[in-house]
Amino acid sequence: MDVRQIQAIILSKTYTKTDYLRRVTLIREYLERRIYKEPELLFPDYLNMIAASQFDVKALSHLDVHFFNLFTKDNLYLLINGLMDALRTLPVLTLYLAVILDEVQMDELGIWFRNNLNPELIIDVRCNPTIVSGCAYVWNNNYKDLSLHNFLSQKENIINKIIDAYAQEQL
Amino acid sequence: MEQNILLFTILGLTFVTALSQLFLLILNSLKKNERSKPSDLFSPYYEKSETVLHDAQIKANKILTNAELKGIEFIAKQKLAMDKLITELDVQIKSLEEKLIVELKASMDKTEKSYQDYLSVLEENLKHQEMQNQRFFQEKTQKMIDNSQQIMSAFILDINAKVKRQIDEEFALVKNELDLYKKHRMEVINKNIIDILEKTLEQTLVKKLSLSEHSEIIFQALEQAKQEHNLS
Repeated sequence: MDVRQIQAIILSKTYTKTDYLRRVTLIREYLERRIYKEPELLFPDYLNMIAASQFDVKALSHLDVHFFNLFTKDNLYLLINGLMDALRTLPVLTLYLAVILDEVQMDELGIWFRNNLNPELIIDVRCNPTIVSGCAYVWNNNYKDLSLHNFLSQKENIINKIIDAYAQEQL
Repeated sequence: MEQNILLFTILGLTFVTALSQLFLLILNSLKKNERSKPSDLFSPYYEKSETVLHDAQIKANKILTNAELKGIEFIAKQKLAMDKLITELDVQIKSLEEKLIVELKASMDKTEKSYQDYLSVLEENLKHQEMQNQRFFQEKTQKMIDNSQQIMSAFILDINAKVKRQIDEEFALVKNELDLYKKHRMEVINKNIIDILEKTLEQTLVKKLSLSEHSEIIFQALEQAKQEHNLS
């Protein structure tokens, strides 16, 4: 199994860059411990030991013993570095949000974007409070504004009419 | 006057007669003196002529005497007539005088009355004229006052109209400027309304919206973009 296939297994439940990096780190740390210290250590126990988040536990639950047996002392860092390098080859969607959503909502977003744009994309989440609500994203070097600002700009005439009507009524 | 003339005429005739008598007497006397030297050739003729002259003289004297007597008679008659006439004249004059006096009195009375009437009429006319003049003066004054009032009113109305027109024009200008300013400000506001609204919403929504609401809004926006085929 090559790096791309390993990456695909990890990416099946990982949608954002940060999650990907964190989970690859978790895998590396577990494998380092297992290879150099505790050969009998199971991944779920390790996650429990380090008090990993339930979100990561759930997302990495599909990684079984066969997956971890792919990594050996000789190819561990090769594969890990390969996984890091492979991240750069993935199509990236830079997503701007007004607030940082929780993991479940982020996974939902990830699923939605993979279903509608590209099944292999990975999301780079950025926080931009000026968006206020909605989101904006950069995909294929195109900036797409789905924020409140865009909505208000599109409905400018209607908003002006409403405000005028309100002003005439009230003033 | 005529009587005096007649009298002088008669006296003149008498004086002429007397002078002619005297002259004849003188002539006779001269002739008597000359008779003392008559010539023989002319003596019958001289005697005849003397006789004739004597007869003529006598006749002349008679005529003169008659004329004189007639004159005197005439004068006497004349005088009597004159006296009578004078008396009658006096009487007539007196009666006439009385008549005239009466008539004069009556005429004076009439005149006075007419004069009084005239004065009263004149007075009345004067009063009437005075009243007319007063009325005319009042009318003229009133007309002048009315004219002045009309002119003043017209002037004031004109001024009012001008001022009103000026004020209306100024007001219209100001109103136009205000409308332009309002329009301009509305345009500025309309341009910035989105920003203003966004800033307001930024202040409120960020604090008010929950994470699930944020997530819902994001999915709604994404779905709408997907329906509009506006994802990429």
